Amino acid sequence: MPVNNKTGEFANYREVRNNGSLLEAVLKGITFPLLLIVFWELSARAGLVNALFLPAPSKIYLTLLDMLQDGLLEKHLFASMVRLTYGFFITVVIAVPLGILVGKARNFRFWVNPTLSFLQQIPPIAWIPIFMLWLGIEEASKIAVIVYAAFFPVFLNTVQGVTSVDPKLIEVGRAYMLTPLQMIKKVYIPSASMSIFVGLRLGLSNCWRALVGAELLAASTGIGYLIIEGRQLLQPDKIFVAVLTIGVAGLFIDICLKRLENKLMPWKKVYQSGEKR
Amino acid sequence: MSRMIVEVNHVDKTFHSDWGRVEALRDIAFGCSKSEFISILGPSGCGKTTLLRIIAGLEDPDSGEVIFQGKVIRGPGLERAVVFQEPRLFPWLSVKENISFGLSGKKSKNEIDKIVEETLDLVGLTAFLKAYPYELSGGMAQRVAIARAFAFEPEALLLDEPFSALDAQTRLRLQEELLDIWRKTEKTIILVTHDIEEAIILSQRIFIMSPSPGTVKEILDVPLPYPRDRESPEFIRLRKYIFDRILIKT
Repeated sequence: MPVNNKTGEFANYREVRNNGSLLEAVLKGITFPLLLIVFWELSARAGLVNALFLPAPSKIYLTLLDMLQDGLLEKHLFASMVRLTYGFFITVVIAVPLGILVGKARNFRFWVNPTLSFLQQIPPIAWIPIFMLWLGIEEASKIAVIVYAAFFPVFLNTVQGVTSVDPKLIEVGRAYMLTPLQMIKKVYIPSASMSIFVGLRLGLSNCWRALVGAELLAASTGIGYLIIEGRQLLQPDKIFVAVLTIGVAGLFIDICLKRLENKLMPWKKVYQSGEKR
Repeated sequence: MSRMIVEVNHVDKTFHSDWGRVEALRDIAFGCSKSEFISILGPSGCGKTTLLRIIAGLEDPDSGEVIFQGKVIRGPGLERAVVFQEPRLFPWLSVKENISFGLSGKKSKNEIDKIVEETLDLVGLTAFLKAYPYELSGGMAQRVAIARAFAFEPEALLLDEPFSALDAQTRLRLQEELLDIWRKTEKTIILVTHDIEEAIILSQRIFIMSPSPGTVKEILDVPLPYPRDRESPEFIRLRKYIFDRILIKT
């Protein structure tokens, strides 16, 4: 076979993308928060703001160290994470298979879409009182809120992913005699995986918000509870530690998922930019 | 003409759309014997792809039937492998997985490894076993698609303008490789193409189709020995003849 330029033809896109620009991105992204913190600290030291309402960053930092030392922050963060894990797991188990089913059985959509669109309008937190009435004040009601919050993005993105599978690839599956089950496993799910992952990321971030909301309303542990406690004890530094932890944890979770996504789908970047073959 | 592997018996096909009805195929009838290499040649829109899709079982004829190895075709089958105009590889699978796609469960792991190795060797891509489709050039991807078709060990290979999306050099090279593979494996090959030279270079018989309604206008034997010389007077005469036949609206 006359193939002499094998390595030349083998364009490795994985190496081409982002070479060394990560540092640059981090620097750019961190500039604004740093400036803000410096400005904040200076105004606090100059006595421009009442420390009771807005404690200085240095004070918040010291409180953070204290809370880490007591294990207080870890304890509450862990409690929240456990709920998040349960809730998210349950969501995935329900929403992904349901999404695949609805996406494949095209007519089924007409039966469920109006109901879902209606339910989607209701913020998860609005359900907390009724969930508490039904499921009690313990873990179950909080997990129910999380499931509700994450369900829609995961479900809708799964449906979207399954309905937009390239019909040409489905035809390949037909030509090579896949059974309906193989078709779902080998064509529909991988093809929809990108969209499903978008749903998972959105869902997880929704989970996180809803969870903190639920903990604010009724809980004896968790990051949300920490905020309430800080208010009741008039410890704004504690509130700030909790609020900032929410942001950092949310960011961390999203980065982990993104990493996982890139690892599971190395072909994703190029596929998305329209180079599909 | 008794040992026919494919028999097309009076196949008709009409498409209905919002813009009206298109008679894609009218009363198509021909046969193709085992290990034969035939081309279905015609301008775009003459129904040649539809005809191939009917033979592949991806589409049903309105009337008439296609008989393959003595049995009427009802849907796709592994004995008839299709290579489409585009490679249609699964972007989430490596070259190896794309080729063995559909074999898993039907064959043992060792057998699959052997088949993948053999077919990749056939198309000259052994080094790219673990590559993903986005890392391949168009020509390489199409070769993988051909390897995938061979992996099923089909009786017949149905090619739907497989080289039309490639650049001229790659196309020539792949035509050569296809001839090579055909002589090695002795599979029956039905090639759909609009490229007159491609049809003459490759096939033993050429079915010239004309559009609206799609019919087989002429069946032409190509008596030239392989490998064929594009510069030879017979080749040029044949090309001119076919060119004229396609242009004349009779």
